[in-house]
Amino acid sequence: MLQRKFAIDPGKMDEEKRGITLNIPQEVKITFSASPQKQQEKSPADGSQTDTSLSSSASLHTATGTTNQPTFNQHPTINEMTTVPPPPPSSPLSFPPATFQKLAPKTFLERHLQSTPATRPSGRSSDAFRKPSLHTNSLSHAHGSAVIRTGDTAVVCGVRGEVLSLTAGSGGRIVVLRSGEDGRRKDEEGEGDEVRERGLVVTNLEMGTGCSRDYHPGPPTDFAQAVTARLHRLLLANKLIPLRPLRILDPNTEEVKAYWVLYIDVVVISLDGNVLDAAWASILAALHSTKLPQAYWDQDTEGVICYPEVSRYKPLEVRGLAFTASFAVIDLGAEKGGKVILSDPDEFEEGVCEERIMVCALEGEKVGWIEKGGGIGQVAEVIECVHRATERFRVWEQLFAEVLGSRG
Amino acid sequence: MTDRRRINGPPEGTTPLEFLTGFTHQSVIKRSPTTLRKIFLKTSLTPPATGSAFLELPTPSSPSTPTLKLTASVYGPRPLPSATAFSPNARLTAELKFSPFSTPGRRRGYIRDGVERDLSAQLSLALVKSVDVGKYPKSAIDVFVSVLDCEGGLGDPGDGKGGGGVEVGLMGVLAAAISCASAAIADAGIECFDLVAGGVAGAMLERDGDVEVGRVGEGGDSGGARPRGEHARKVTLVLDPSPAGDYVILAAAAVGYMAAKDELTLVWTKGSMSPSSDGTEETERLIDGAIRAAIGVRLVINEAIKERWLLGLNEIGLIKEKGVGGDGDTAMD
Repeated sequence: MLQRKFAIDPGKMDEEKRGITLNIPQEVKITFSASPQKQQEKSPADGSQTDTSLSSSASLHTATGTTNQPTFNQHPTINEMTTVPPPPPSSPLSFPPATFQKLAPKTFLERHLQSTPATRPSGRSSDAFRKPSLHTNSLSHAHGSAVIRTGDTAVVCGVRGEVLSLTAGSGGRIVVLRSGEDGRRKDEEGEGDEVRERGLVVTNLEMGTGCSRDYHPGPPTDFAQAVTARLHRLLLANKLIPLRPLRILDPNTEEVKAYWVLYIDVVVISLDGNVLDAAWASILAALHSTKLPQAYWDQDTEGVICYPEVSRYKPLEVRGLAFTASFAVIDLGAEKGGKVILSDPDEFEEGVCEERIMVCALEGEKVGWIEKGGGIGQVAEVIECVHRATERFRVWEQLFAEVLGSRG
Repeated sequence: MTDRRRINGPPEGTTPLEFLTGFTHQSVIKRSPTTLRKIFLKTSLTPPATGSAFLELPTPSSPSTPTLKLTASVYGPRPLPSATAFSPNARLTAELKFSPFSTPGRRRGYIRDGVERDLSAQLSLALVKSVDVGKYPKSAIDVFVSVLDCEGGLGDPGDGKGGGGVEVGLMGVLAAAISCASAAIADAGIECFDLVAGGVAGAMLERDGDVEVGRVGEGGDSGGARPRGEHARKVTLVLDPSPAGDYVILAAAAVGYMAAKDELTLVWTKGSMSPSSDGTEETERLIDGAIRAAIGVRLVINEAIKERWLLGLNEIGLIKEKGVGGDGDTAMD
């Protein structure tokens, strides 16, 4: 089996290593063999054998003696790791890709992207997203729910309505609203504000479910809080939730007596990067599948009463679609290919890349939101991301149409 | 108590829904008292975890029937945090959490409540005796269980279930969590003495050869006490009682059972049990029933583990079989 060999000099290793101490004799040639699993059957062209041996000239001999190139040769495939073959005598010290990945994550990713064709460690090309799957309404106590899985990232979202009544004495908070209670035009303008002012949408993301090694039960981490805040902002900014179905009226006077409050809870089951896209899609799918019971204000009990019949449940008329697409950017350096934009980064890539771009695409190839940070880049980068996000929008749109059917 | 780290609802507070008439789940699958419901159990659904499993009960589920869905993920053995004292054995911790949308009635908060702490403690007790903790000194094994959906009957206020009898919802959740977590531990490749399966059995009032539906009110007693006129009624042992059903359960038992070693890791009973007329202890009958249920569940765990194992062998090329690891539907009757 041909394998590409990547070599690192120990000086560089020192920069790269993250708290791992390596006791390697100085002049030993360290050769990391990393072969993307999707590419093994391909014979790499002669050029890919980039064997940059070390320039250190110290002549220490290893303890093992006879040869100064000890052999810990293992097959690079994870599948064959259980069957360790007898090491060939004179091959250089080499590690399986998994070890290389842990020792020098950035170099590992860079070498993958420099191969032809450029492939990420997961086997995807740089502009490939993971294929999503969607199920809706699988929970029995939520008014709407969705399960989204993209690759190894899986999230469950449940939407549940509770009632906020505006009876005198049970509040005391004065809310000044710009919108009137009548007139459709005014409604359209002020809806986002009313939903926001009253706090009618409550978004939360829970990562302390054993979804990944790094998140423990307990209070949410800064990262979880940040993602929650972004999801909440996106939901309000895109004005997807109409106000009218959230109002509960007095049947006699047509006066707003109470509101529905939508509790949107996203539980991350499995985390392998890019939780934002998956969580956002799950929220949207759950909202699209939400059906609230028909409710009215009962004057006798001064409370809101719902009809129990499932046939009288009404779908929430969510307005349109919007999908986020996240990207990570890695700079390989000017001579090695410049910046590479990775669509839908996984956990490993997110850990390595510092520059992030998020684009929220709307219907009709519109863009609703762009976030970029962590690096200095050209506008062309962002434009490229917008194009990819528009492509991604179509994939999601098709999936939603298939699963949610005519209602979507 | 407000949670500053999360987005909370309106400060005025919201109320759960009130329905015009009593809100009941009618469609409960009819089955004989000794038939268990079908279980779906599949391992390795959380790839970042060392081991994981997903359990669904009953399956196939219909939208009108409440189901129990939970995931378990296992991390470890991994080094104990440096602050902790030396431990010659592995430390197993278990955390059980209900998702906010998992229970009927009021929405559950994110902060762990007493019920969850209690179930977590019981779960770790039930599991720890099955794991060969001596093999992993200075290590931690962490088990996380998330309940995504449950059948109710948790004894919460506003659960919508009145009447006499005891609630078996929590027992069902605990038993399923034990089975699922045990499968996840096996999936993680942690050395075990045996697998633990959870089983529940309940004593129900029977009338006309059928399990009685409705509430027990005529005795004027409450909280699981016997109504008068018991001699005219027969009490039937029901395996795997559904909390969503409209039966009256007089007493119930949940066990964690290791079938190969024939040992119990956990016993939990509820309700009043008395020596019955034919001399057999009702407690014993109930626990035996729960063990029978656990043996049934154990078969499902075995199948799920076997499937995972064959898949693993297939992956490393030791066996080349077609059809191994199909849809993972390890259901049982």
